[in-house]
Amino acid sequence: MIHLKLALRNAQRNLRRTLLTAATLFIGISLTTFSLSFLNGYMWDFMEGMALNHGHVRVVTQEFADREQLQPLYANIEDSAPLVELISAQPGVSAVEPVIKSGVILAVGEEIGDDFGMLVGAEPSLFVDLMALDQSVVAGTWLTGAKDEVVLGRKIALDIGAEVGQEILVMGSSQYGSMSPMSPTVVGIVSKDGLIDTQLYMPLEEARWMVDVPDGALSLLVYGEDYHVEVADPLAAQLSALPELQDYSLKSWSQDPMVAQSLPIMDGINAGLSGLMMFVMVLAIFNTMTMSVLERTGEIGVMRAMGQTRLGAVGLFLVEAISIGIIGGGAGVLVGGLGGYWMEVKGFDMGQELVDQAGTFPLASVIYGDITPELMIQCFILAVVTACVGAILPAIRAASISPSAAMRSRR
Amino acid sequence: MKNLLFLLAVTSTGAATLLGNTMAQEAPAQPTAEELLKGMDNNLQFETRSAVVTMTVNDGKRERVMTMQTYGRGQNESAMEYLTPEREKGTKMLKIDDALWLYLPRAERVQKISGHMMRQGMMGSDVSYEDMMAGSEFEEMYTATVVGSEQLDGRLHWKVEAVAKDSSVTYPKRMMWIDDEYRIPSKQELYALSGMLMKTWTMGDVQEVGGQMTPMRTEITDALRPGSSTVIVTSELKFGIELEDEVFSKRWLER
Repeated sequence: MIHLKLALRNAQRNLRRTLLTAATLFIGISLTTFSLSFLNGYMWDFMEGMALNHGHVRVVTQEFADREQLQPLYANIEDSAPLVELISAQPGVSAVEPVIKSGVILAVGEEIGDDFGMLVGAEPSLFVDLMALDQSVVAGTWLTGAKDEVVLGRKIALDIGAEVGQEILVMGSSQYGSMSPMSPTVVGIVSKDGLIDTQLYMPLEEARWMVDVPDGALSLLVYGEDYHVEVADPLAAQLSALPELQDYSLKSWSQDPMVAQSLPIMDGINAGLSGLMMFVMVLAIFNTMTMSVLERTGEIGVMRAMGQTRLGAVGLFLVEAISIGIIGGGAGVLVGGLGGYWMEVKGFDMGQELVDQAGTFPLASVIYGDITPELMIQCFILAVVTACVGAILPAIRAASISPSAAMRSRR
Repeated sequence: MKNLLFLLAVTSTGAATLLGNTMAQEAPAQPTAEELLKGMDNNLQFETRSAVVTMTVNDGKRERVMTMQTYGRGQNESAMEYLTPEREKGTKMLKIDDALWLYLPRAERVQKISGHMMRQGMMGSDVSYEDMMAGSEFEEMYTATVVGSEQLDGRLHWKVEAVAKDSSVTYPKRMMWIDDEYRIPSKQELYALSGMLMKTWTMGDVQEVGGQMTPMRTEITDALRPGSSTVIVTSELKFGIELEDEVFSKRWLER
């Protein structure tokens, strides 16, 4: 208790220095908290987008999985209804959606050959209830249920120069390799993220005609209660154990080859940026605390000469550092957290160009932050620990030399 | 003894004659590459023709059969209408000079094929739209060299390496095995500019129709689609028929 009183008195004695040190802590921690919440939000958006598009678990035939890059339309699930019924009845499954995804050639005018797109055919329960694509319509409407309708992703519409109300040619291929031309009318344009914007959307029945799979699908997207890996992976394992699904390939979204490739890259970028931010913050706090203690080496010498033990002298500076860490770090976490919360609610518009450059990544132009109590606590602990380490090392050094040498020190 | 000598003389003369004949059959005078290409052009070109073509596409998993009514006039005009299966019925293609048009009955649209689609397989087959566009004036398009002779199916073939005079030709290099008698390329290997083998065409069942030797069966394999093959069988072939101008017009597509 005496240490705390002395430490607070010392802190008040040179208020300017104390405030400067606390301000450094405050700025460093608030910026770090805000930035980490931004990065977290970006990662969650990416993973959620991936999981939603892929399905928490995806069921395809083994042959389709083996040759997926070649889009083997013949390797389809010929009759999807019994499997949908079976999987829907399993615990932990909230929805099962039959989906047809197939590459198509698109044309607005007379020439056809150079514009490609990925057609997604599914029921409204996927497009509307799960993906909420009707909320992302930027022109026209979502599919109304009428015949020969298509909704285009923003980028596709731009690439082929299609507008709402226009009839376009969608040239797909049947599972037997023959041409499957359709001339639907563009009823709407959607914009959500890099993946959504580069696809076009049709009712499942129309896509089934195109691929010539009247009752089937190319994949079944299974949605569980949560997309997180800890839930999706066990769900994939649980469904894989069903005897009826032994001839199928079941993978959670994180096991998908494309995600498995891109996720570590995204994780790496996230870890690198987070690490860099924390490193700069730690360096700034450490430097400020160290300088603040080093310039008081003489003061430590006086304390030692007056009978203060080494441990006592170091303890005094430690308590002072903890106090500054709590005040500066606490205020920083609060302000940074408020900023993160603001970004979680309002989002930050990175611009459409970023989405366009991200290719088919599910990266939205508006990125929402993700501030959590865990993140705030971690940042607070980091602030206090860094302040303590920054103070304790020069204090130990000063307390180890003789009081007379310490007092002679200019600092 | 005299008799024996006479017999030997007769036998040896006969043997020499027989050997000479056999050698002449096995190694006839080598034609020039130009002669071979000219002979091929004469057989593969026509003024007008019509035929029913059956195309069987085997993708290594299953087989699909399509029939088409085809018409041709010279080297630059051809028209084709799918007769079966039901899904493709009514689809028409029209080639006029360097343009390829497609009529899609379900979409009720006429489209001009261009760009990347030209390289795609026609109706999932191993024949691309680009192959359809490729001319058959070999003598005009290629510079050829006879590089040897080989027996294919017991028939003498001249192995000819043909290099395109113009790099814009679909296949800049062809290795052809030309039947010595029929002047038909029984086998062709088609190479890309990089030297990579793209396709192999084999022609067989050569018949004389309207005074010209014509292969009635062609098999195409695409090196980029292992396991797949397309067999085209020609029937009801007629040369020198009267064809209305309308057949080679966009009007015919939508008719």
